[in-house]
Amino acid sequence: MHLFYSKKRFILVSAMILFILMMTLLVYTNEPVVEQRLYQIENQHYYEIMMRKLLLMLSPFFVILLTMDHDQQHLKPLFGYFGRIKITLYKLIFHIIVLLWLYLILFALYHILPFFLTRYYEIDTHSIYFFEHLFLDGIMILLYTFILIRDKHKGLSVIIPVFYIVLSFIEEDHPSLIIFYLFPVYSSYFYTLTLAYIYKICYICLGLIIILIQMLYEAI
Amino acid sequence: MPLISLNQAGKRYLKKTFNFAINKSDFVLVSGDNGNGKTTLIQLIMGFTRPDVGFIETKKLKIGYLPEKAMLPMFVNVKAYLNTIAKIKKSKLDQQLLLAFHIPVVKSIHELSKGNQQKLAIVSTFMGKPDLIILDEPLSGLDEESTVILKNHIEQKKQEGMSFVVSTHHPELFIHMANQHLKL
Repeated sequence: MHLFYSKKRFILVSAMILFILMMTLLVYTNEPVVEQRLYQIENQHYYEIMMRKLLLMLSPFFVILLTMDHDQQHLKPLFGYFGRIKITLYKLIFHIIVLLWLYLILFALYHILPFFLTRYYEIDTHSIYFFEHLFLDGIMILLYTFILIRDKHKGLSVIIPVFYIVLSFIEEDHPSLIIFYLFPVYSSYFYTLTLAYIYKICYICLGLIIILIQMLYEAI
Repeated sequence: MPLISLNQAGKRYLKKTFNFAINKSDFVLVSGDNGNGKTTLIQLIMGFTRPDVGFIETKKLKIGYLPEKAMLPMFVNVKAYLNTIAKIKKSKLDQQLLLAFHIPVVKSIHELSKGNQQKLAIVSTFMGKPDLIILDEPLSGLDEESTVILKNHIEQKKQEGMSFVVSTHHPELFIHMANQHLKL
């Protein structure tokens, strides 16, 4: 109930409107319908590349906006009543559900906007794999936030999405397995591999275990 | 078996250890000057920090905790907050205490005065029939009338069999209820 307090709600809604405007600018074309249809594959490919870059750059900031306040002081009295594990698990589940909603909205916008604004766009299922990876990346950012960010220095949480963006750029330009093993962020080189998908899930499970151990032994 | 027992438990920086047990229906009063370890003792009991020496044995308990400084979600309506706490603790609102404290339930928590925030924190602490209630400076920010109301409420709950640990700079108000008085 404290996640969307007035100021934060305003920031989130503004960011989402800005995102939609940026998408609209990218999608908008004044080409004649015939040309749009003629170069359908090229247009669609261009849209997908541009939009994926945009999503890779902006979605981590949305995730941080939603998760940076996870360490809230008013939860402290509840630790005594319900126990640390229960509160931590509920907090994690709640944030993952919120992230799921965020990515569902982004997924819907990704398809709806070009569908109504252009004549070339055709809905396909390839984007599902991209969004699955993006969602897993969102969970990874969430885990890093839970492990590293506390209420006292939550302003530093902005470093995490910046780090994520830099890493994803490095992975795009100079794909490296070692970097991918350390930080399995989205990369167009690895995302088609089934093992990359499984590796990410294992990485997330490890993060969840670290959070639970940290919560059990951390002085609060 | 006691609810919680501290066996020579302490922190290195405190240079003293605690050795006592809290049983059902006990009222443990903790008093002493600033910096003598009252809050550290409460943190040890709550499990917020682990003892550097000694050990603590505890049952699985529901503890109602009132921190020294009220910890509340600031941008939430009072009524919504209380209803949520009642819902998650599967209990009903204590209308009697709520009315006695005159908390303005239609306001947002950040609009409340320090005293009213403290009263709200007290109401939420007592919700859900906890096995043990820990109050760290419960009188902080309370006026005389509210102090009397809180004192009577604690007395009533103690008679119903609830256990208490109260840390305060005004032990004289609770001394008649206490069966253990720790002067730090």
